[in-house]
Amino acid sequence: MSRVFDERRVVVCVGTGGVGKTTASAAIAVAAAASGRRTLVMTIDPARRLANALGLVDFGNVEREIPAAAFTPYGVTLQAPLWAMMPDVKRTFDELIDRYAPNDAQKRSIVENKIYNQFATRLAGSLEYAAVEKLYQEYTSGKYDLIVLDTPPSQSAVDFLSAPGRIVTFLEQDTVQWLLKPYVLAGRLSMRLLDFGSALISRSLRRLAGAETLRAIAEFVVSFRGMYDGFRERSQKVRTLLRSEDVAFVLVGTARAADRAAMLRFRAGLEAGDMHARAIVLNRTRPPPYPDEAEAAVQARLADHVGHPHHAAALVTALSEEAMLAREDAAARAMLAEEVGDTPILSLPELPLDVHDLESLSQLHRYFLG
Amino acid sequence: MSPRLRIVIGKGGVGKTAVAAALGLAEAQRGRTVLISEVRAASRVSNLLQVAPVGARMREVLERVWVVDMNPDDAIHEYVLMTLRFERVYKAVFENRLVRGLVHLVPSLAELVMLGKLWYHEREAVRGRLRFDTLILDAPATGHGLALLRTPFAVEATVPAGPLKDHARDVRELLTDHAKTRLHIVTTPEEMPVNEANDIERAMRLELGIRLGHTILNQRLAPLPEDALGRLEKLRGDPELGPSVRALAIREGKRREGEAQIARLNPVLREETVSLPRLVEPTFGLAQVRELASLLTPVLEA
Repeated sequence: MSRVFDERRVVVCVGTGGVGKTTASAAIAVAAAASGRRTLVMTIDPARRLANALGLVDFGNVEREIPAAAFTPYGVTLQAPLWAMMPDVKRTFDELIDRYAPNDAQKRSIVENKIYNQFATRLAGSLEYAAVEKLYQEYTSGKYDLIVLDTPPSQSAVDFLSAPGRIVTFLEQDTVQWLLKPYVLAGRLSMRLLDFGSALISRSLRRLAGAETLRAIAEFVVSFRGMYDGFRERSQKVRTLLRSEDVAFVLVGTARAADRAAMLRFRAGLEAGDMHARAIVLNRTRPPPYPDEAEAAVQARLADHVGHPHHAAALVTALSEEAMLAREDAAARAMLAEEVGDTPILSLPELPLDVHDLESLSQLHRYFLG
Repeated sequence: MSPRLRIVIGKGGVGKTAVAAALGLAEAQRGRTVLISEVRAASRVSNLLQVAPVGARMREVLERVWVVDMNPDDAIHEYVLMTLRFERVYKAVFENRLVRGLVHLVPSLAELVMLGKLWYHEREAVRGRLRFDTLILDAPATGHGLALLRTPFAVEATVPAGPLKDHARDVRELLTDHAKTRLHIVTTPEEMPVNEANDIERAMRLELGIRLGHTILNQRLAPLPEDALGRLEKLRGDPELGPSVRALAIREGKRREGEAQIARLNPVLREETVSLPRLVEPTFGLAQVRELASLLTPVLEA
């Protein structure tokens, strides 16, 4: 099997929360750096220990190099530098406004608008938007051979992939355009919605939301004037990048039924958008402790060694639970393989959690070296 | 008085829906009529209870157990109807698609009206008797869940005087009523879920002031006998038993790590806890939810 990052410049790991996406992304990045590629791993909201291990603290929207020496105790030699970055949603949005606002006054009026702040930080998909926006910035910087993007957890690929288009869609909505039109026509801020044609509609809307709320929305929309083209062009470029051969999507999940269903949803979402999952990572799989037919023999021998009957019973029960979970994992993998055809599936083993994180990464990266 | 509203919240994947469903069954077993509400959840509660999927139209799926899966569009429709009183007016206004778009631009309206639905059912009476004894909200995962709970506070603080602000205040008053409402944080013994549990506790303490109920420690493993495990260590290299010894060691390592994570929970969250076991059956359904329900009785007695 060729490696997932070969001939790619971007690897995007997608999946729901809590499946070890960040660990898989970091392991892919370590594998790439160990293979001589200058690699950046971008992650949003990593587990604290992994963040610490990668030196990720809040130091602004910039990358930090992970010293190669950090891996040498675990027998891994990085052949090229490895950087890590944790993009910040609000800052990424502010940078965008900074880039596209035609002048300072307009920039201020946007950033100070209450609706903007909700929009930037609370609108469904703003995290996803910031992630792809930052990815695009780093991709075009040309500083890296490979960027591994650990996407924020979401319930479907659609959340993440439609993010770049969402702002444009938002701004192009009939309603928004219609709110804007009087301004464009008259060259001034006109509260058309307060003069609504039908008195019934006008009264009803004001009763629902209050005239002041409607005014704030209109002001926000109007303050975006002159920025549409910038946003639209940006979104188009990101779309093109995500569909190019430079990018490999990797689905990350676990053998749990809910995660498997999510992976299939993600895959369908990608396909619908003309994007393709190049590999599937099945995280935290448990290898069977013994072949099914040996269960009785293994349990008897274990009980023998333990001696104490209560203790032996506790261990045997625990072990048969582990065996059942391993069987479920194997069955899950088989079912998944049937669904996804020739997309390669990589099973990463569950590791004891008390090992240091760079040590886990050092163990796991080998699975991506092919 | 028993709490009227129980909110179940925690990181994605920790078993919130199973806990919410189990709490519902436990309440119903005591003769109380329950409404379990989820939010855009693809009918997960009804699937878990192995009954026909329930969507935005609530249904009694087991005796005294009602389920609803709320979604923004239907909730807004209901809210607008309540405010405008007449379907005819709703149609006149909302068949204008510009207006529809505009309503979706009102920040947080969808979230507010979904909580507003709970507020409405909390006081809903049929023939002079409350329709539901307990409402259970299976909240979205931490980030979105907190955003949902913050909505009435944010709307009340930012929206000019008017019907929206009044509605936000009603909902906020229910959420912060210490006699009526409890927030149950669910966590597994793992790092990220524990971090999020602490984040939620902090948000309640510093911002929202919703009263905490029992913390639910889900999928907690029982310790294995240490000296027995020790005696097996020498078999690690054994071709037949080695993998079993390693599997047990990994499990025990994971359990210890999990206990260390639980110890990181804010002490407030460790005051009142209920531990639920990890259930390994290949299918998780009504029987498993009942099993969990039987373990949740301490929650109801508090």
